[in-house]
Amino acid sequence: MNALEPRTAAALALLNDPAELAEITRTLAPRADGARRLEAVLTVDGVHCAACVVNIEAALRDAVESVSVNAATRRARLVFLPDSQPLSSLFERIERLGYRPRPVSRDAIGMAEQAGRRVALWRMLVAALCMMQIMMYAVPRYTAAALEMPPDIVRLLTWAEWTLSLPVLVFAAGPFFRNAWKDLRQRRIGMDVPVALGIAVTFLSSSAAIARGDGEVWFDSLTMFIAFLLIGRWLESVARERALSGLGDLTARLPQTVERIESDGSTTTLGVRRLVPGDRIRLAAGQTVPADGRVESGRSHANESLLTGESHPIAKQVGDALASGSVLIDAPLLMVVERAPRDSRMQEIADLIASASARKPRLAQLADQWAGPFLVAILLLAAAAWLGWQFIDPHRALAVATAVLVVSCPCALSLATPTALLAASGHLARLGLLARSPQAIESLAQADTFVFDKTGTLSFDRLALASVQMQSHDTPITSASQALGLAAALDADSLHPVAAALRRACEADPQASREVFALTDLSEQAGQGMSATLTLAGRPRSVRLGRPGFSGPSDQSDEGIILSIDGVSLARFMLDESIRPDAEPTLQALHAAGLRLEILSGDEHPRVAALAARLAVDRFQSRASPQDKLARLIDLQQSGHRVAMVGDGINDAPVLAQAQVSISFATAAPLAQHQADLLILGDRLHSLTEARRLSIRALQVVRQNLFFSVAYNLLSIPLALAGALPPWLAGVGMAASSLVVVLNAMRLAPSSTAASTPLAARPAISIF
Amino acid sequence: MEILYLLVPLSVLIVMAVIGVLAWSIFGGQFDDLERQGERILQDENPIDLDSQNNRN
Repeated sequence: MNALEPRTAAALALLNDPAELAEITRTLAPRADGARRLEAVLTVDGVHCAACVVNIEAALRDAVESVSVNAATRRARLVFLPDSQPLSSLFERIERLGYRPRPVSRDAIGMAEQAGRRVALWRMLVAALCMMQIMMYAVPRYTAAALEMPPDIVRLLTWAEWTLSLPVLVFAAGPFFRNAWKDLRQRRIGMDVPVALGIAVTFLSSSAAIARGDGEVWFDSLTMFIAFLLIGRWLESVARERALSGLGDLTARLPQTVERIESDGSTTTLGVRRLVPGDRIRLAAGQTVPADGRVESGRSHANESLLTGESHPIAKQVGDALASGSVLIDAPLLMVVERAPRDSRMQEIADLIASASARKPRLAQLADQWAGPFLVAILLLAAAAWLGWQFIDPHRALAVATAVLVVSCPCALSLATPTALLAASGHLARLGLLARSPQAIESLAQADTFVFDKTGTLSFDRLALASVQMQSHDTPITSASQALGLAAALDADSLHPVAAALRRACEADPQASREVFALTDLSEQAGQGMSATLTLAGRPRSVRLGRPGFSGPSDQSDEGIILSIDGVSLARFMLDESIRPDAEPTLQALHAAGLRLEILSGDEHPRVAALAARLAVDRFQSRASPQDKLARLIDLQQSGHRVAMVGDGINDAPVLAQAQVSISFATAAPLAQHQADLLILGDRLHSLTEARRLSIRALQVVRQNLFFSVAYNLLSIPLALAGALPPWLAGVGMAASSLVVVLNAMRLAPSSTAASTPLAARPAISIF
Repeated sequence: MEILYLLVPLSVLIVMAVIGVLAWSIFGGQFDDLERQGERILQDENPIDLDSQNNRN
């Protein structure tokens, strides 16, 4: 249908390279005839409805072993035979339909796993179904006396309950026992330990009671307990999966290609991964430098802001070092590769991230803090009850001790935290923030220090015109606006970042002269400035725009950009980086809340100092390498601060990994996004303050919930100790306390009248 | 009341059967993508089938 762009075609051909294939596919067991089978997951841009799904599946069906496309997640899962149908041909088929497929990296394939979701759904539904049916038997059993039901029928009903609680234990309760076992082996007590203990004791004592033919049975409480817990966990996993599915797509992309210049002068296109030291490659303007190396010929500017935090573009000349990950701005270059991509600076940062996230101090989860003392208290109480009843009525001692363990099963306690955090993360999504894990909310509320990166976070990495100083008035050009108009006209075709800043300023200035200047002989001296001949009132005059030494006398200060006519400097343009518009109110709000603020930047000292002064932040560090930033953060943490880090660059990724809670932007470097616990979607820094307020409210609700559930236990345990708690009352109490906790958590959900963002169109939580 | 001796065990068996059907439907992938199946009625016939029909005519 439509021909492919040559660049795309080259990237597609690369998909068949074994090195690339290994990154984006999983090897499955070979077919019976020995043919290799690979599995790949693609993100397909442009899929928006079920019809697209049918089109894509129909186009691929005869070429692959299996294909399934999901319209909601825009993901396609392929199982194909690379030897008969190369991956590139499958991509081509999809491209010809007008969709843009991108391979998802091998690590992200597991995230899209259907099997895990299915098992979670299965567990939850089995538990819920059996719980409902067991209630059907339990209610007539409780009212048996009033119904004058013969004891045989009551026995039959208890046996029916026992039979139906078996599938719940076998199919649904597995994870609780597994997690509890894992916790015990690591010699710590999490929420799953009392849960597993409660389940085991309840089931065993009830089974023993059936076998003996007398005593209390608790199958209704048991299954209700398991079902409520699983419903809570299912909701949590759905919310988390929704948050993560958007993230995996951001990093999916076609393999990067470069043009290598061979010794005979010809060029070959090859994958970035295949570069070796000594290769000479050609880079176009706008391209990302694929490996560390040096400039061999050409002059250009490179934007290293994502890599180092340095906000101004850096001039690169022959012999200068180029770091992988920086972006060429204005002119093409020829470079020599010095280090293979996997040894590059990017890789060093990736290693820093790995070590930082391994030793990241986790804030203890509130519920887990409570779990240990809770368990000890319950065990002591049960033991005390058993001992006490030995003196009162030894026959009932075991029954009472069991009842204590059953009613203290921390159902509401383990629902307390997840429901609140889930509701809060739904609300956050409406505010334009994505919480990658519900625990991030808890950590955000507890943070007492906010550390900001500068470039990209508080300021943008593009320049903006700060002021124009007129220096001479004896020319026809007298106003600042006129000077700006002339400068913009001179710069009209330049790709230099300064030129772009002047053009933007000119467009934004309503008074900037719209007159057309008669400019001829326009030329650009790379790294210096522009020169041209301007015909004013019939007289040709030489105009120059550029660095002080180039366009005018250099005896004055070296700052700014000078516009000169016939060597007389006319105006000086002062450039500054542009500050994020909502940075100031956000930092003021955080400061007013009594938080410690700090800026850690890799940029030059004067620029960081100027920004810190404007934002009234007194603690800052400039020229900080990723290692310096990490060291400073660990310093803060060791002096007892709980640190929230806000950053967007590759150089911030290690600190983001180390901070207790990290915040990044959806527009940030993928590496930084991967380390962030919270992502700001709308590019609004101010949503940070709203998120903080909400997270503090969420933490309050968590505390209230914990209080509620403990209060329920405090009320029911004395009854159980006294041997006066009938099983039906225990069941009602358990359901009621869980309901209270869930309803309290719902207060965190956004009200329908709240200001809605476009995200509100998509429900944050839907069951399926 | 005697009928309960039949009905209660029967209800247990029915729930077991429902669990079996649930397993079949979940692990058969019926809950994987609920949005798509709802929209399927709005789609044309499968394009591949259309082609084969045209060839026959």
